[in-house]
This record gives sequence, C-alpha cells and structure tokens, in this order.
Amino acid sequence: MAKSEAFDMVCGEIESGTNLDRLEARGTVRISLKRAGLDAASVSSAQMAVVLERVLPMELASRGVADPEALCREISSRVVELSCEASSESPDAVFARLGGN
Amino acid sequence: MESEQFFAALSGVLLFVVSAVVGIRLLRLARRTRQLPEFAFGFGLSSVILLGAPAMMAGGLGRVAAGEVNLPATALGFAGISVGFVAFYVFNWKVFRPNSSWAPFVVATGVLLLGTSSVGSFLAVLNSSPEASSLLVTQKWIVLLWIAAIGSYAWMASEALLEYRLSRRRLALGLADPTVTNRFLLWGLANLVQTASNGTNLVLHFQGITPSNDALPATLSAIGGLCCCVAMSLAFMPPAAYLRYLRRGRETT
Repeated sequence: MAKSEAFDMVCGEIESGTNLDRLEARGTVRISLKRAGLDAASVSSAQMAVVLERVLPMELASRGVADPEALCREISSRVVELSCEASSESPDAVFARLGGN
Repeated sequence: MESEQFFAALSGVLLFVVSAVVGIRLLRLARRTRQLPEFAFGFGLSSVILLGAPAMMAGGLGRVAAGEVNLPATALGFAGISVGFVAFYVFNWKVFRPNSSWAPFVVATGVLLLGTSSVGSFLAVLNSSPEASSLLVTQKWIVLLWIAAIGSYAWMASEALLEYRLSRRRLALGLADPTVTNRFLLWGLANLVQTASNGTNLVLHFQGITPSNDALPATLSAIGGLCCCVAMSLAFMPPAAYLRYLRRGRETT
C-alpha cells in the first residue's frame, strides 16, 4: 500500500540521522503514528510535525537515539515544507462534513 | 394495543422520521459536495426508510395470504431495502477501508445475501398457493435479508468505534475536532444498538417468537429505537448548544 510523502520523508531522515536501519526506522515511525491515532498512508505534513514534536522523540529515546528532540525539530522544519495535506476522504473529513462542520 | 406495543410503534415512527430527515439532509449535502460518502449514506437511509419500508408495508408481505400480496409494491420494497443496505456497505468500504483487499468481498457478500433474499422471497410468493401464509413461505429468505442488515450494522458499529478510539488519540494531540470524535462514538453506539436489537429479534425468530407480539423484545426494540434516534440526531443534526458543550469540555481538559 502506498505511504504518504511525509511518512516516507521522515523515515528516510531518521534512517540517515541515526543508527537505526531502514526497517527499524520505519517501524519506529509507524508505532509513533499508531500512538497518535494516525495512518502511514494518509498522514499529512502538519500532522507529522505534531508527531515529531510530541510522540517520536520518546520512541527514539527508548531505542537509544541520542538527543532525539533536536533531530525531530530538524526533521520537522523540513516536513512542514512538504505540500502533503490531509485527505478530504479521511474518516475525520467525511464525518466532519456529515455533521455540517 | 398493549402499552409496550404502543411504545414500540411510537419509537418506530420517531426512528422513521429522524432517519428520513437525516437521509434527505445528507442527499442535499451530496448534491453540493459531489462526494461519494455522503451520497451513499444519504441514499442508503432514504432508500430503506422512504422507499423500501413503506412499499413493503403496502405490499402486505407477512400479514396477508400469498395470493393477496401486492407484487409490484413488494418488489419495490425489496429493491429499496436491498439497494439501501448495499449503499451502507459501500459507505463503510469507501470511508473506513478504501485500500483494503477484504472489504470488497464483504460488500459482495452483502450484495449476494440481499439479492438472494429479494429474488427468493419474490419467487416463493409467486410459486405458492394463494391461500398459503406469505410469512411462512418467505421466512427462510427473509432471514438472509436480516443477516445482511445485521452484518451491515455490525460492520458500521465496529468501524465507527475503532475510529473513535483512534480519534481520541488524535484529540489528545490537538489533531482532531471534539465534535467529530464524538460523532464517531454516537454513530458507533447507534449501530451497536441496531446490531443488538436485530440480532436478538433474529434469535427469537428462530425460537418461534414474534418479537413485536412479545412484551420484552417489543420494549427492548422500542428503547433501542429511541437510543438510535437520540444518537443520530446528535451526530448528524447537532444542536449548537451540544456542539458548544463538546468544545467547552475539550477546552477545560
């Protein structure tokens, strides 16, 4: 299944900026997204920025990555530049419309 | 009429009105947005409530002898109910499982059950003697429709409640609107009640009990119907005060 551009970018940055291999980096980001109630296929850059600030540092720290906050801040500054927006077909967007939000 | 039957009838009328209003509102929304989910949901509700159920009642199936069943009205009733439930299956697939490999098979199973039930019931009435009870000649086919309906409610309930769990996590990070999170909960609970109510009635049916003629299941159905009315109203026609209450609650946490 295709993953969002924000997901692929963050995984690549973590793989190159830490000792984690590709599988570990993707797994760590995936777990962080799950903790945030998000999906790797549809996560937007704005949502990913919040995950980078609030969830991912803890996950990276638990895997022995030094100074995860600084790394996540650096990745976040690049993620927000992506034009990767939340889908209008996500359950959140659909249920917002159904209730007239 | 016994009091519990009156209560059940009143609850049924309320559920009919609320479902019809929500269905029409969603169809009007779909006309503006041109999006499939609101069309599928609105069309499903309207088809079952405004076309299928009244036509089925007018057809007399289950109440009169096979020879007295109004066949065009019954055919219209089966078509309205079946197409409506297919729309619910499609809504679930497209909203909650758009990339899933198994969801299309669930939809196909629903289509198969609904189609078999409709055609089977219709042929059973056509091929039976005019004096035969239309209820008895069609009941094994109607059970398939019942199973398809329960399957649809159960799928909607599980997906909505699962999404509610995820939405609460997003809400904790400021990534969700509290009114939308609450809407997943309400829609999940409404469908859970429908699943339980229809499931109970199906079990009673297999035990030879007609739910509408028995006090306890009639009362339970009525309470379930009222719960659905409240949940659907708050979810899809929320009063401004309720939305303010949800947003204020979020701000104070």
